[in-house]
Amino acid sequence: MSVASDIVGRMDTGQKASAVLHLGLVGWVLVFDLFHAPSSDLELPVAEVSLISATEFAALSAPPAPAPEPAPMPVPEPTPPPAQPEPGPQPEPAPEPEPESTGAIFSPVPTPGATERPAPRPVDRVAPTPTEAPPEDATVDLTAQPQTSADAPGDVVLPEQEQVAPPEATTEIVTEATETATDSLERAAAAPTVSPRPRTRPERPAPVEVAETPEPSEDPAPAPEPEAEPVTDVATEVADAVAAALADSLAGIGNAPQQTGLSASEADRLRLAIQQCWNIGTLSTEAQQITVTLGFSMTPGAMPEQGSIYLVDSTGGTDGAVSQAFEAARRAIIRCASSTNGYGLPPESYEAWRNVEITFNPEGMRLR
Amino acid sequence: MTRLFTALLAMLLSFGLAAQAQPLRLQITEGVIEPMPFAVPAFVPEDNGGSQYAEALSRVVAANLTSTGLFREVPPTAHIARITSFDAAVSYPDWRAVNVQALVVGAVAANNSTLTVKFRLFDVVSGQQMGQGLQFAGSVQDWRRMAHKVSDAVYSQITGEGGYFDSRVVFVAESGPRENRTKQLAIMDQDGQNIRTLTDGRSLVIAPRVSPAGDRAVYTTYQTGSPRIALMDLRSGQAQLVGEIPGAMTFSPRFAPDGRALVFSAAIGSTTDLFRLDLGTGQMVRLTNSPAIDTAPSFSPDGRFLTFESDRSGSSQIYVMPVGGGDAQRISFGQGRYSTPVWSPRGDLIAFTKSHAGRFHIGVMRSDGSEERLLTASFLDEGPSWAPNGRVIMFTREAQGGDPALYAVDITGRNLRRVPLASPASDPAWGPLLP
Repeated sequence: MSVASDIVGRMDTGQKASAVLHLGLVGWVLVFDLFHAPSSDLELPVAEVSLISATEFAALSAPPAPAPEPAPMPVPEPTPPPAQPEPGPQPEPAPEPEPESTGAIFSPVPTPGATERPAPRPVDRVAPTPTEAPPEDATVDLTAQPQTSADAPGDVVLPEQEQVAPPEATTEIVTEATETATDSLERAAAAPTVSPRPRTRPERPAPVEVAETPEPSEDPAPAPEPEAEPVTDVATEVADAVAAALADSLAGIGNAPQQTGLSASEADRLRLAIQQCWNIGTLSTEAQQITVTLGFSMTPGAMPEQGSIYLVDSTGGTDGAVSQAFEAARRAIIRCASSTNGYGLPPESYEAWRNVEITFNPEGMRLR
Repeated sequence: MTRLFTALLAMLLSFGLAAQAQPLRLQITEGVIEPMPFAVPAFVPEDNGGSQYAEALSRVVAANLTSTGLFREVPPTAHIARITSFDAAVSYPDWRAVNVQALVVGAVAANNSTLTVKFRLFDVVSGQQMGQGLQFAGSVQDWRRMAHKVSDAVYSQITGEGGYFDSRVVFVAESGPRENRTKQLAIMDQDGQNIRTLTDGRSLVIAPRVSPAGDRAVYTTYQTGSPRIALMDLRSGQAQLVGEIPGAMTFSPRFAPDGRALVFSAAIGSTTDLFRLDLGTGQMVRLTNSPAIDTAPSFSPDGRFLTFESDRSGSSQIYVMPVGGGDAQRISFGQGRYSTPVWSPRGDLIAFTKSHAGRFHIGVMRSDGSEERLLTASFLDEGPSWAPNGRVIMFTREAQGGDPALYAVDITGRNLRRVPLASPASDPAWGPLLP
């Protein structure tokens, strides 16, 4: 023991650290079997097989008969140019039995990126007629039952029974293997664009002062470095405080309504209400290309304050076109609130929707 | 040291409080496209003379706005509020109650032969006036033009685009049996009113074009037995042949943007090429020289390029080349035949006629040939002509076995409508906004 103490006493700090680390590594290997090789005595899967003849194997492994090739399409003869120019009126076209068109827009090629409403993912249950998913709080039964009332008029008085909803069903089974790329894209489009932010870090409990027990040692304890211990404590506390402050700060920056006290469905209801009043049909073709962001304040009754509506930002277009786009968005904010006497938002979370910024992006409605 | 950390903490906490005051942020990418409800109560007569025009003025304004497809009139029978004074305060709740979003309030006064019309436009949703009120004065005979001026101002204020109501269209008015049809040059207001014939019908006329100033027209006439180009002064009705080339048939003329030159086609021998004629000096320049048929030229609004149709690739397609001639770039590559390209007054689009699979279409594409869109489809649609604001296209539609008629369509493909005319008509040429 005295030899070891003597050796330790002659080691410098680096050597001490190296020795401690090496000892720790050896101990880890011994205790936790760090470099443990995978066991080779795993059970092998066994499957029963049956013997077949060479003829049967050849018949099984033979490639299927090739499908007949389609007949090649005849190549149209190039139309020779007319020998003499005809400056008169256009020649009458061949009679065409098709009815007249109403003049709809045709697009020669599908526009990539065109958005469609996401289709709900098919449910597992198959029924002759599809059934939408019942509300979460509804009681699900294989047979839907309308709610009855004991005082309902009729010859026979039925005992009152609780209303139940049929389970969600679809008319076909769509597995992941048969899903098309469009389905995947639609489901991806339906995915939330923002994920819930993690909760802020809880406050550390107040440190409890505990009486220190002096360690028995023959050698006098080395003199403690006076700055080392206090700096470590302050640094830890500051780091924790900074992390907490940052977490609190960042929690209010995102656009996830959940973090502002407004549920996703409530925020979506507000968005849909304004969306159905946003009419860009009377805008110029230039203004229909402009994205504008409007900010405004709302009263506790969820009515937008008209005087508070202002332009936060815009993308592209001339000043005049931006002004037109702003007015159309402004009308949408005011009109839908007026027609419904407010947006019906929960007053208990007023601070969450007191100030609103809405980006009106007509990308889904542009001319294609 | 501790003070430094405390200051840092305070700064971060204050930042956090500020950030927590961030607004609720939403994004809307889908809206609606529907006509805006508007109301035009009868204009307020400010004297006895104005009373006979008060109702008529408001009806013309309402008809103009409705014809665009962008607006829907709330009829006067549904109005709750009554406008009795031009300066009276607007009762917005009454107009909101009948779902009016835009309100036009006007007044009219007639003093001897002078008519004075003024109006204001109100945004009922916001409860405020839109822009400044305007006043027009003119002859009582031009009361319809005054209504068109009011319509243009309202349209521009709401849509942000120039109007086109106070403009005229030169076209070919047809009459008589199909096998012996009489075709006369005629001019009308864009809404089909005030029709006036310009030629006597003794010789066949086709394909008129209006000068940028609206004072002249060029067209193809068969008065000599073969196609020739005639230039007419629309005020006097006097016409003369221009661009004569001995032994050649000349046709399909169109004005340069400055009105000082024409570009047209001339068939010489077995080829048809483009020529440019300086109307001031009579100097003529050959622009193309190919064994193909090059015809239907149209200037870009800046006068730097020409678009035309040519069958040099084997079938009729659309090309663009510098105005002085040179390399022509083909810009149409879809299926079918493309013809009669016309450059938009805005310069961004080219309208054309397309025939494919036995159907005819009016379409638009960008000047580089991209983003082709077909706006119509029928047995025979042809000859597009742009409105002065580049938002509407007028063209000829002919049903199988029927008479030709004039139609108009918005460049969005919406609001296809027939121009109300009592007799067959074809070859519309939309003129500029009147001064």
